[in-house]
Amino acid sequence: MKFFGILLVWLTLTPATQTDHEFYLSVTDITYVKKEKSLQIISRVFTDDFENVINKRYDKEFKLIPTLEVEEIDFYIEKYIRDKFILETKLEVLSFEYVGRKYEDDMVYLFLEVKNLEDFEALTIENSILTDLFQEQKNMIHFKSDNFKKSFILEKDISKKTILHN
Amino acid sequence: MNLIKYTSLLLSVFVLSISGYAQEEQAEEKQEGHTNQNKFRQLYDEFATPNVYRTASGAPGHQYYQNTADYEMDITLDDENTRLYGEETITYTNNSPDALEYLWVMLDQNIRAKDSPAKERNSSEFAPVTPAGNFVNSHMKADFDGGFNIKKVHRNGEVLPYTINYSMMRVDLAEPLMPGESFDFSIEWDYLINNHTINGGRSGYEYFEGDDNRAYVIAQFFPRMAVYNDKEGWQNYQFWGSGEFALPFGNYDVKITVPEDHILDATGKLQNRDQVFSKVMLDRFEKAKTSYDEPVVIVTEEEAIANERMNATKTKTWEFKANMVRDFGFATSRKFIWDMMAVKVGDKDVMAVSLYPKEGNPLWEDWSTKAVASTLETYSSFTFEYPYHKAISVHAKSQGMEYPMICWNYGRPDENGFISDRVKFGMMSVIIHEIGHNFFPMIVNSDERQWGWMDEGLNTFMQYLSEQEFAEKYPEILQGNNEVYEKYPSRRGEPSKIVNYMKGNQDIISPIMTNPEQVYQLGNNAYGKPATALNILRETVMGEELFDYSFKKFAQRWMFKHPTPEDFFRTMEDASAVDLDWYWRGWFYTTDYVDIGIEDVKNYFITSNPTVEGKALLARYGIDDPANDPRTKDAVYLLTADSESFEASMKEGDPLENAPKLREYLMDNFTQQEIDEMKHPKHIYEITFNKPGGLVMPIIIEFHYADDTSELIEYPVQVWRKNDSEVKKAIFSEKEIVKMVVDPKQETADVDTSNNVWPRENKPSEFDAFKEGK
Repeated sequence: MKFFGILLVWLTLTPATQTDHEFYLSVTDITYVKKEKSLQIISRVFTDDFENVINKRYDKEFKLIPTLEVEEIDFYIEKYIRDKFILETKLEVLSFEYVGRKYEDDMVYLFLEVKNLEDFEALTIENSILTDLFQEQKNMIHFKSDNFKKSFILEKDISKKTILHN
Repeated sequence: MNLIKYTSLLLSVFVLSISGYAQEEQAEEKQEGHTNQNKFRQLYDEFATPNVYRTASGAPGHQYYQNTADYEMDITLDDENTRLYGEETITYTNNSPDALEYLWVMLDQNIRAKDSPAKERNSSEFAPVTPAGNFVNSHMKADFDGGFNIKKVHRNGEVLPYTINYSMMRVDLAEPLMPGESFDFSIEWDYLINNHTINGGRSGYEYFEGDDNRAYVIAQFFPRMAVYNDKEGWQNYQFWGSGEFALPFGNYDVKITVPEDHILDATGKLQNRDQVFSKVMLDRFEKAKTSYDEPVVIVTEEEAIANERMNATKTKTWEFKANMVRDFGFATSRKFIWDMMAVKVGDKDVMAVSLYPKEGNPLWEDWSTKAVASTLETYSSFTFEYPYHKAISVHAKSQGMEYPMICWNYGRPDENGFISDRVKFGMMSVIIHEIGHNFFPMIVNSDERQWGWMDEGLNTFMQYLSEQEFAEKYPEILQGNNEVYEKYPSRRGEPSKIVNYMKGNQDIISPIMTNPEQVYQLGNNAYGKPATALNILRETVMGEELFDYSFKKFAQRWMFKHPTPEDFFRTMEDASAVDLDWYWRGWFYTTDYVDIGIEDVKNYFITSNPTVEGKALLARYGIDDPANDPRTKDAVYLLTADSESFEASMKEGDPLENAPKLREYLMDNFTQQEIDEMKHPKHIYEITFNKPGGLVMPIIIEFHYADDTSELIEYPVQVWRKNDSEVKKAIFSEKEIVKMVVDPKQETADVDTSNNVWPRENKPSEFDAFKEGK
């Protein structure tokens, strides 16, 4: 089973001796709302890690803290997301809108939306957010469309997976 | 007889007859038999039979025993070559009733040996595309040459035969070690120390390029005795990396030789303080002993920076003794700043201590030692008074790891000294957690190799309580980068925080009662879920008083002993008289989750006139004219608005007016005063609760009344004992209920709250809510 293959690889990448602290993990909900033809994405990423990667990658000193934020930051956030998060159906690479972001606890929530999307047979999700900073980064995906649900974990070497739906 | 009892009696006749119908219809089908699958059945199949070692009440039995291992060690650090050398003598005492033919010694460093099977414990495959750097790391780089080099195993110079099977070494004895006897033997060893920031591991060093120094946090560094006990025999389950340690208690006498400009601290009492401390340090140390509010700096940042520039060739030996500890760890570096503060535990003074390189400031100097002290206070109040004389928090990058009296903790400001909330609270939380481990498993000495959750879960639960208390003692920490937090932002403990895990894909969830090597998500499995389960047990199921008494009883019964999960489960029940088999079974032995909802609510009305439904039911009992039949002449009929017999007038007015027979009955049987004292409910509801989730839980429901008041009602969990999918409740209310909410405070980790509210609310999705808010 392919799914378990991926899981086992995920485990491979954890260091031989795991310390007591956490995995690096983001959680992304992808929901297809058929009647609105809308694919809605909420990606929750640790704020510090996200700030860190944007700064390292683009050589900036942004703070992802509302009182210390500069407007320019959204340009780079969007650029980064477009680099690292790719959605594709059999027909095309989907273009999504970066709707915005909000903070909750120690996470930043990124909101993305694909509009006017007809129901699809297969959706390929690529999420390599933060894998350029952390070898051990894992990106959990929860896909939902009506009663169809699928969850899996993407990571550095296996950053893509296709969902067959319908 | 009061009104409520009378009417519910009738209702139950009605319900009974309906189920009678259903049975008749299915009579043709042949049904399979089954074993007892009731969620409330007791845990006889899962639990071992109690015996003389462990009692049915969860306490140690009258013949409970544990073996001990005492160590005398000489350790030398070669800083330049990052190698550690040791000679140790172990005195192993057999208190078991069994003759031991061999001894098992653990060689945990072998996980980093070149030929370690742990490296190949997982499946691997190629991705079609991989970055060059990854490719090199995974497939081309030479392996780290770690693992123990065992040079000699002997007894007073006489070589002992031994066999190494990966991380376990069997030392063969010429004669069995009989009950009550001790055996001493010596091992000489060395190993190459790993850079834990590159090679990983719970121990090792971090290299600081700027000043060319290392900070060492050293543990699992010596061959350690395995545990022999009544549950496992020898616990020699190999060290694969996730399952931590199982260790016997013992007394340690350890000499550690390091470059003379190093600052060092370790498990145990420092024996030669006069030799290793300068005069200034000694003076400061004396001050620290009576400073209860602020730490006293023993080695300042300036002094540490001056030490960084030294490169001593001479060495210094630090001597420590520790009694009744299960392990030994130490930290040493030129870079260490050192501060201490006294904390009262009972009538005893304990020293709260921190060691950190300057890179930890400006954060560590403010909060590490205070977090240590506060943690000792909270844990002591919930368990037993902290029995050791000190507790040390050492700052090490990306580490979070515990040993007796000493632990390593992460949390570092950025290069500009900026401290984000995540770094700050992460640092405080990890210190609280690792210092807390002194209680579980360092003193309540569970088998981590087998049960990761037993120390991590209990400890993470206590961590949550300690974090909340820490913020109550120091409210200034709640000032965040953007906001002032209402309370300490604990990442784990609150029921809502475990929902995403519990509702996740069942393919990657394991029951809590799973060996750490086999779980998919160790963080949730061993830390988050058991901690939350205990929090729910405390707040919602048992109540704080019963829980706290029982939890403390468990800690005190098993202090300086080796408990198993059953000892915990049994004690919690034994000390509280709360039957918890259903709770342990559901939360700890399965991956079920909580989902309780309101499926339907029916409004009922009362009348004295026989209804269509009432007549049909009574006809089955041969009562064809109920209004005049003496058996049913004062019957009260309940009907919904759907009934053919329903009349709009029934909605209005007093039910007694609508059911004159009821009034007549009351007048015939009660005085006016008695009638006045009775409840006169005007509104009658029948609620159907469904339970899509596998876990049973008490039903907590909030009724919102038309007059804007509300009331919280709890039905005991036993309500599910005869029907695991659906239960009904008949409600007689004096006030109209306009809204019902199940689990309104989200205290049960209900994974789907969309079915918790009646009438159903169409809440916008999180996505839509965000879009609308913009």
